[in-house]
Amino acid sequence: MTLLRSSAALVLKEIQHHIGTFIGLGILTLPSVFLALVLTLGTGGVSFVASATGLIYYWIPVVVFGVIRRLVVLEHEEGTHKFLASLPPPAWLRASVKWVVGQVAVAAIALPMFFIVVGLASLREIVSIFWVFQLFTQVSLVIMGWTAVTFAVAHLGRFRHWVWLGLMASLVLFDEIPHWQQYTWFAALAEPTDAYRHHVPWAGLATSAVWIVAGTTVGLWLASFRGGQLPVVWYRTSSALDRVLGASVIILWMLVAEVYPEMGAGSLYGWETLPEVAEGVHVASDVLHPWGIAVGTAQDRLYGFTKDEVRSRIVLIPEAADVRPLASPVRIDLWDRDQVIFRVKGPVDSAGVARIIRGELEQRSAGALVHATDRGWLRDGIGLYVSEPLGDRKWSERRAAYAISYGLKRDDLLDWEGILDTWGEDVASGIGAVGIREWAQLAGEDKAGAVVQDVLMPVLPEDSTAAWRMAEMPSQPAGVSADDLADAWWMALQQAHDRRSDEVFGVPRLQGTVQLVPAEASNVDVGWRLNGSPPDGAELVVWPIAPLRLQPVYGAPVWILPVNDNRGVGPTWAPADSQVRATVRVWSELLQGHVVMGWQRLEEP
Amino acid sequence: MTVLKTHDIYFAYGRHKVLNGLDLVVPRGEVYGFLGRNGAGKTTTLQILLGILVPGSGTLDFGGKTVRRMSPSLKQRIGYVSQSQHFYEWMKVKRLASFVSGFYPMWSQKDFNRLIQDLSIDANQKVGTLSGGTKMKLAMALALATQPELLVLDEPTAGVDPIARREILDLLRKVAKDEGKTVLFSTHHIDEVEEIGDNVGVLHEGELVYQDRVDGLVAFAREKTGKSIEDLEGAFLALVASDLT
Repeated sequence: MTLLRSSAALVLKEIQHHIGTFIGLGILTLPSVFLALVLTLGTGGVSFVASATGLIYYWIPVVVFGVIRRLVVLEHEEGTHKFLASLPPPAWLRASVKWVVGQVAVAAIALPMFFIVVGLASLREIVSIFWVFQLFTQVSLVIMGWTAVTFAVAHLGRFRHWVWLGLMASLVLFDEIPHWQQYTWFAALAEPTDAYRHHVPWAGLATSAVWIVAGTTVGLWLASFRGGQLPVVWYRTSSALDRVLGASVIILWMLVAEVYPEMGAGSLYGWETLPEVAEGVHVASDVLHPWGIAVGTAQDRLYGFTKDEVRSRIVLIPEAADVRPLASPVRIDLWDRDQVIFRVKGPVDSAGVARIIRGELEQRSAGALVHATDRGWLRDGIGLYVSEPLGDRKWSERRAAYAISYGLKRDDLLDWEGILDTWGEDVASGIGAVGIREWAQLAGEDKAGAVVQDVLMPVLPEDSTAAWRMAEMPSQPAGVSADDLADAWWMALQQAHDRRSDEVFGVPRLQGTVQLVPAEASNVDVGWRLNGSPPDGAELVVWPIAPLRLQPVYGAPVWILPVNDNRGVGPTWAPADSQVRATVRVWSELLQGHVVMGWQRLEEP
Repeated sequence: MTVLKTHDIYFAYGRHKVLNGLDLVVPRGEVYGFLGRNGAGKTTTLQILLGILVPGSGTLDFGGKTVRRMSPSLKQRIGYVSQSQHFYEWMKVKRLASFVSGFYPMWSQKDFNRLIQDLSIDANQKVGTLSGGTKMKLAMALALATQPELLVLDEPTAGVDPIARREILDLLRKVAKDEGKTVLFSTHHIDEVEEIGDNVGVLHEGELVYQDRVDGLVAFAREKTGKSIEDLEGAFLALVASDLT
């Protein structure tokens, strides 16, 4: 009873003492939610939840430092800890009350922001309640972790600045060590927005829990050891050095933010963080983002089929949905940008149209958008790292996450990063193509057709042809047999066609040759001869090659000529002494209601 | 009959030894003056008695228990007035009393109201606006309202004006003589000990060089030093600052 009464008196005092500051911090942090909204829409970010929660993580240190400073530091700086110590409650009780009040205060400030984010996000991001619960759990533990660690450090008195300095510096110094982040204090405190932890929603909880326990234990021990004498001895009035150290911590915090570039900004990762339970969601994009451009392109094509004028720049498309009854546009007027959300309703009555959208979006965005449970991983695993800029992607973590997501072992997935390092980006995509066969087998023979159909588009889109062509160059020291690659492709496609002829259109394997044909004195033409009639959509694709580097001069073929007959000659207007590489490619967008893309390397004379 | 005893208390701040085998005996119902120079260890001793500090070794006898450190339940039976008051300045006097009362089962709001009235303290005034002397009086009112078995004061008249000092001493005399409370107060004003003290302990370099009735201090100092000492001040100086006498 006495304990309860004492605790109640201490709690009441803490609330009365600091409620003004807590409310002020709450008001201060509230705009961050709307800042996140602006960042999401203004920087090409696609997931409000991701960017807003990232921003919340930015604010958490501010909130936590403010709350703990009030509860612990201020008490010592004003000397009121002496008055508290003269009262009967033991040091552990006084510290525990501060810990609890701190946790509750930080949660009370931060979690409303979380729910505002989730509420606003529901406008354009269809997420399940369970996923919200998962995110809530993670965010809650992250908040508790921050508070616990800060609580412990606060009791170090004049040494606390050094400790923060060390913690911040450790992040910068050790950032290059693989997986180090996942187990460190900051991983528990600031990293849950990364793809790894959202793909494996519960994986981060243990790390967070460890830091909560560690921070709490150390904090209470420091606060109560020998009646709480350590902080009393360690605290002193802030010196100039302390202030310099404090400023250094802030600077390091900024550096750390650079180390974690995804924090606080709209991120392409956003949609990948959505769980598979939201598989109905396909894409949301900004008009200026490549995905948004892809959406626009897709809609142009849609117009050709549906004759419905549809202009949206942010689109949500449930999988396999009919696109004609596009409905429920939600307009967001922001900076005069055409931001529109479409929710697609209605039964599927035109799979081909839907596939065009899928194909276009997946080709442009490398298939990372669809999280189909049975085959999405292939697109994720291959397509993402073929067509998307690699940049600062944390492939090793993502690879592990994908593997776990699809019930595989990490090594079951191709180590794309390693291949890239070894072979270079262009050749790597060719190697990836070979890997498809193995992966198809991994997914099961019965799924081969679907696998190939899914994989063909993202792996060999138009802009990946350069990579394919590079792989077939004899001079390329990649050690990759272009013939083997082609054979692998055709075998996979044929197997798929054999098993799923209703879905996978069999493309006849063309045989033939291409050759450079001298034209006028200064030009060279390309001639071809095929052993059969080319299907609709066959094209002759000609790339100029840089003589010394043996790499394409441009990022896209310069000449694309229609191939309507089994033989012919096409003008290129390339200089006679130039090096070009020509390929006949078959790319038919719609065959028997399905998108099929194939290609054929033709032998040179 | 004693209220409080310490046995062989040692305490050091790092390598700096402060108390060296302290054996303090505070008789029940009497006023114990705790004398010593600045830095002699008086405040440290009182903080050990309050459980604020933990002795390196030694024990305390209080309330029928022998402990190394005062437990919360024992602390509830001691009223403590520290040398400087670090109250929450944003609190009003009545809120501060309400806060303190939460930790003391024997708290008497009636006594507190009477005390602050006697000491001319406004219950609705913010603590931060009170003078140093008034804060000291408020601390005494808070301590006495807990109905303590032992009232411990650390230099209660340090830094207060003569009027407040007189009020504080009068109050101490009153609670000791009229209410029979046991009072232990530290000071370096010998006249205060002479005025209200029954017993006196003289602390020097971490050890008690004298502990007995106040009126025996002069004879003890005279006998120990062999000097002609006429008053308490002379006795005190002879015991703790022989170079000055």
